[in-house]
Formats: sequence, structure tokens, C-alpha cells
Amino acid sequence: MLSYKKVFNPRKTENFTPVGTTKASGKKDQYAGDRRDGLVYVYDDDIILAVNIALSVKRPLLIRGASGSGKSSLALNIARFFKWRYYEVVISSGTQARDLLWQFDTLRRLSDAQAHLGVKDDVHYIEPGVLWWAFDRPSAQLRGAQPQKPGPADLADTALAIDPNKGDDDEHAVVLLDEIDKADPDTPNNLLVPLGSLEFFVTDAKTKVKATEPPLVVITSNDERELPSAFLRRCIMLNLKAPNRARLVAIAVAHFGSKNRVLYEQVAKLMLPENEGVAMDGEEAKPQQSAAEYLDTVSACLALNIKPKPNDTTWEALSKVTLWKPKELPGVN
Amino acid sequence: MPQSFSAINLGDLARAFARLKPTNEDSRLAIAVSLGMRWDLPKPNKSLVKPKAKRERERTSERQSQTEFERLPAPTRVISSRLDHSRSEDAAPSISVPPLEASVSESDAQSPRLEPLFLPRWTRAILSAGLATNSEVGEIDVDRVVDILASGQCLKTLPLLSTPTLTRGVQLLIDRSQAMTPFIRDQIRLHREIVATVGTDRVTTLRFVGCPIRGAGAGPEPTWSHYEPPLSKAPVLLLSDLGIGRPMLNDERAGVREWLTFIRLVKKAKSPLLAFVPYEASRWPPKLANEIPIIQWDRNTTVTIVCNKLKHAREVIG
Repeated sequence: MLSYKKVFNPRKTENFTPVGTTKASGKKDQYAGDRRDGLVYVYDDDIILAVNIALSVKRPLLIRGASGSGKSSLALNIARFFKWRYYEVVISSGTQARDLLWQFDTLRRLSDAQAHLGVKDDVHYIEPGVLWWAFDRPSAQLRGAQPQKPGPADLADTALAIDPNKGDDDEHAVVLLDEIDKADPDTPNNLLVPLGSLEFFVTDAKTKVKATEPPLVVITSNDERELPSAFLRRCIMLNLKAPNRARLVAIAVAHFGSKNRVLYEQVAKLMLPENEGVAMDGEEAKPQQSAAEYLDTVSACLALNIKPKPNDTTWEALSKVTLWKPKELPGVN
Repeated sequence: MPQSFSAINLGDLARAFARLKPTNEDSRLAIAVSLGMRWDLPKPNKSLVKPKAKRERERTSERQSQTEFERLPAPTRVISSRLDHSRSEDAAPSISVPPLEASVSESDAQSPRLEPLFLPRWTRAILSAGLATNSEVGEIDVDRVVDILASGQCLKTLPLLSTPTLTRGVQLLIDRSQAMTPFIRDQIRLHREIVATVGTDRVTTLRFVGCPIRGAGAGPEPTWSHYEPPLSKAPVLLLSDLGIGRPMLNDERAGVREWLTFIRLVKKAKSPLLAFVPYEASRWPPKLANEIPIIQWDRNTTVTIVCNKLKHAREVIG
């Protein structure tokens, strides 16, 4: 039994669904696709401990796990719990580390010059990235211009950058860098200094950005590409284990209410006959299923009034498209 | 000066303890483990407290065992790959192996599980890195736009940044020589991974024996014809042992000269060439290793290795 002073101490199921949209009101659930709203999260001791440690030592929290295991929604749920600001960016193969700090809109500057509108001061063309917003919001709003002396005389209110915050209004922030393994292999290493020292220099604005309050940086990886060891050594690691039956049912109850508990248990039992989660490296041994696929199946059963039964044609057809997705492609030998 | 972003250290452990105030050993251990640290907590147990004489006897026995251990030959290096064919001149220590029927269950014997040569969770990234070619499909190349406009010219086409992409597809050449028989399942599996990564329509699969210039084709051997490199500058990927696994006088074994002819043909078509070879670097023919990037088809291969190899190939081989 773990016993420590929890900075982050959520309930086992943290549900921020606004009153009036839940099952309690009699309305249908808003479940659709992958939920990234962070409204509902089912915690276990390992997750709570990892978040507490990341908050204590002010290191990024790197979450690894299969797709649909709840990596991305954790960050927003934490932000909702603390009522902190929330920023997110989904990393793609083209994302560079600097994109997360700031971008310079060279094309708009060129367009202004071409249109003979007059090229404004460089700060007008700076777009702050998520880490800038999380580190120092006032500076990001001014795009790096000095607040005491606005610098360019024409920096009107309309030139203020728009805060992409999706959370509450607070000094603290949670930043989600989603799917970092999709990025160029150098990108994680290029983030070491800004994430470690919690400051960076905006060369285009000739200004230093320093975090007033260290944000909680949550980084997710599907493990499709290995991350540099230098980066791994600097993160708090959380491996989200594949859920067992009990956890699946708890997740379903959190999303759909407890009314159809028998159905949740039946689907979980058919999905995991051995009541074991799928190991991360076990692609060959067992089919890969996640909580997301389980929720899709439960949702479809509820919507279409399908009862999960072994050897039932309708159930088998449903499970074939929601759970047992073939990995083999036709025509490949 | 920014502070250095050092790796997680004892300071982090101290900070975590100070902030979280763990009240029992389990919590302290869980925090340490989460920070990537390991220690063996002493667990005093009264039943394990031994009388002085007994402790002395055990110490003497331990000293004797240690001396005997020191007399044993040093262990040979750890075999890191199932394809490690290196041999030690020293006599290997005898190993006790249980009988096959005792160690393999019936189901295992019927269907042995294939351990893929690349680590499964890295395979896709290795393929993406190895098979990507630079194409102008990225963002607008603002620097070039500025250069064109600044020199008073019109923008006839919008310059785009060169970005690594898999859009050109790949020509996959699978060596079906007898010496590659142990790797047939690996070839099939990797073929499937390549199709899944690059796209079904973008993979052209040809099979050959010995060397592709002897003839290659998609169907059965009698239908094979003269080898043609891709017209679209698509990368060419070889799944072959480059003749390493074949006896010197075997007809199937292609000589270095034959391989160099093939390499010249592919280079003439301006297609990047890459080979996945299931043998370690010390066994690669040096002349071929100097001409094309060869990747060891092995579990230790990472994306970084592939990227470095391709970078070296671009800078040195050309």
C-alpha cells in the first residue's frame, strides 16, 4: 500500500462531464470516436504516483502505451483536476522542436512588403508555440515585445497573439506533446534544453522566455520509433499497461454509467478470455486491443441493442469490425 | 546561463521524497523505481539472524567458492543475435541442455514462434527512415521565394521544401537462393511490413536467385526476365545475404563483380539502393559495403543506425 503526501490526488474515476449532458439527465452519452476532452479518466495507483513525481521533480512525464490506452486524455484530465491552463500539440513527421517554441511567419511579412503596406516590426510576424504560452503567457501575448515600452508604435491590441489555451485560466499549465515518436529523430533531443532549463531565447524577437511557473509537460509515445536515450533519461516514465477485465468495466462505467454493467462485463470477458492485459511487445501472441476499442464495442452494443454472446452471428460480425481487426493485408504473401 | 538539463539523479529522488513525504518503504521504493532507480532494501528478518559460529562457517565457504569461481575461464562474450556466427578459438564452457522434448511443449513444436529480425516496435520506423526519399512536397520554401522575388523574377512555380517521403514507393528485391531459406519467414514478414508502411500500390516486389541481373520477376522463376531498375527513382531494397551464406563454388553465389554491375545499373537509374543483410558487418564483402549502404538485419538495428548509414552513404558513396 503506497502512502505519501499526494500533490495530485484524484478520485479513482475522475469525471468532469458537465451537469446536464450526462446519463443522469436522461440524455444520451456524447461518446464519439477517441475522446480527447479529458472529461473522464479512470486512475490507478501507478498513474497517480507518476504524475505526483513529475510534479515534484518538475520533469516531463513520458507516457508510453498502445494506441487507445488513454495516454492523451490523461493530460487534459490533470489540467481539469487542477483547473490549470491546457495546451496541446499533436506531433507529426514534419514537426520541428522550434515549432513548439515559436514560428516566424515569413510569408505574411513578404506579403506585407509586396502589398506596399509597409513591413512591420518583426514581433508582428512571430507566432508563439505551446511551450512559450505555457512558460510565460504575457510575453507570448505580446509576441516577445517588451511590455513596458511596446516597441513598435503600431502594436495595437489586434496584434496580440491569440492564446490557444483549452483549459482554465490559471498561472500553471499542462502541456501535451502528443505522439513524439512520430517526429524527426532529432526533435526530442532539440527539446532537452527548453524542457530542462525551462527557458529559451527567441532569436526573432531577441528576447528570453523563462517559465514563471514550471508547467507539467506530458509527452506521449506509441513506441513506433525509439526515443533518444538522452531524452528518456530526463523524463519520468509511465508505461500504461493494457487493461484487465476489471479495469475495462470500470472505464465503461465511467463513460456510460453503471446501468448496463452486465453488458460491459460480457464484452470484457469475450475480449479478454484470460483476464490479462495485452503486453506491449506481444503483437504476435495476442490481438492488440485497447480500452478505446472496448469502448467502441460497448457503445455499438448499446446503440444497436446487440447482446454479446459467444457463437452469435450478430455479435461476431460486430466484434470483427470493432475488436478483431486483421493485421494481414490481402494479396501479400 | 541556462541550467543544464541533467539526467534524473539523486537530487530528483531527494526532491520527490521531500515533496511527497513517503511514509513507508513500499512508497519510497515505488518513487525510486518510477525515477528509474533501483536498490535492494534491507529487510531485517529475525529468522535470518544466524549464530556467530554459523556465520563464520558460511564466510569460509563463500571464500572457497569465490576462489573456485576465479579459477573458472572468463565467460565468452554475450551472444547478441541469433545470427551471430562468430566462433571463439577458446574452448567453450560445457553447457547442460535439457532434452529437446523436455524443453519444447507440443504446441511450441508444432508452431514455433518467429522472432522477427528487427525489433517489432521499431520496424516501421526503420523502414520509414530507410526507404524515404527527399521530395519537394513540404511547406513553401520561403527562402527560395524571397530569392526569386528579390532578383526581380516571376514566380512560375511555387518552390516547396524538400521533405523525406515514401511517396516514390519502393522496389523490393527478394533473394530466393537456397542460402536464404532460413530467412524465408523473415522475408515474408518484412514484405508484409513494407507493404503496410509504404502502401500496397507503391511496392513492386521482384524475386531473384544469386543476383538480380541474372533475371528477376514477380511470379514463378520460369516467368522471370531481364532486371529493370525502377523508372521513378524509387528506392531499391535488397533482402539478400549478398552471397555470404553460400559456399564459394556454389552456382547460386554471385561474385562481387556481378553485384557491382547490378549496383551500377541501379545507380544509373538514379535510384537509391539499400540492402538488409542478415549477417554481421565483419562478413560483408568490403567492396560492396563501400558501394552501397548495407544494414544489418538484426534486432540491434535502430533508426539512428539506419539514418547514420544513409547519411554516410550520401556523403561518401554518393
